[in-house]
Amino acid sequence: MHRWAKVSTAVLAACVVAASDASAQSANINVTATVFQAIAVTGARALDFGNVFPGVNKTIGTSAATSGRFDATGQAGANLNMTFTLPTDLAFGVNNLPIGSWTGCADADNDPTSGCSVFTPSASASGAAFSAGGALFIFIGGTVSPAANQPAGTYTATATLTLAYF
Amino acid sequence: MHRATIPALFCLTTASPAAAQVSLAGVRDLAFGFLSLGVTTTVLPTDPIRSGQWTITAPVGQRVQIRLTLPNQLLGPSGASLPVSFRNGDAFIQGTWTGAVTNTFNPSATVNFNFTGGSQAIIRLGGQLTPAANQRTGSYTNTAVCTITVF
Repeated sequence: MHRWAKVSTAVLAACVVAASDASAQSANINVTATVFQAIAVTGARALDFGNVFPGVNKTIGTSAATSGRFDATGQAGANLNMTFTLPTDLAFGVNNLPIGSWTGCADADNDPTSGCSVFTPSASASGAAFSAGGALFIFIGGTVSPAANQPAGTYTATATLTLAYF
Repeated sequence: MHRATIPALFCLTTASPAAAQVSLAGVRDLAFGFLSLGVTTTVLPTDPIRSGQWTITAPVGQRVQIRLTLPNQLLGPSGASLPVSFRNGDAFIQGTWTGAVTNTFNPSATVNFNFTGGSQAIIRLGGQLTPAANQRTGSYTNTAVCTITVF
């Protein structure tokens, strides 16, 4: 092979390699996740309105001894959302006792009388955070509105709390 | 020496312009967020916040080949690892021009794309993670690479 041909071949080969390299490019992104302790939540105390009377509203506040309470544990310091599925009535057979409003507060300790962050329980998310020890206590209260002709009986319903990290 | 410059000039004038006008950028991490132990978390490629995203710009009419190089695990604290999976349909590419069609593909395979109606396209990536019940808590990360080849 002539020297010219060898040089041309070498240059052409280099050219092909260069062209191939120049036509490819890469870019990175990160794939990330943060693993937290599993959330555990239990219904620790029923919301109990006690005895109510026809035509007389009755309210149980979050700091009352008979307020409802959920106890939760999870990742220390982590933020979470609270969402509730709440009844609009308590039921006794075919009879309903309306619940007019709900109140709530969340606290790092089992004491709703101090440092309890107030929120309104609803299907919309409310924010909270686990304590440095990974605990959270959620208290709920409400108001029932018996009609003047409300039948006597024991009325019940279920309130459900769902917690999720965000 | 003079003769040798002819093929070199040929190379520069045919291969470089197309490549030079094509660019690729990683613009958003694939972020699974906060996971609970033992609970599977899926991020769809259509997720506007958590899906990973790259952007490609190229001249109208340009054709490119796309290849994703994906991790099979994320790396965490004290050497812990967290398996990650990518299934068929966990990625798509779509031009940003009006009327562009979404092309969903298997992120494990290469895919070709034509810039038929505009000069920008996005690639989105989703995936799935399942921390074990005894998974070490903490932050996990790895890298996903997108490589494009200009035809």
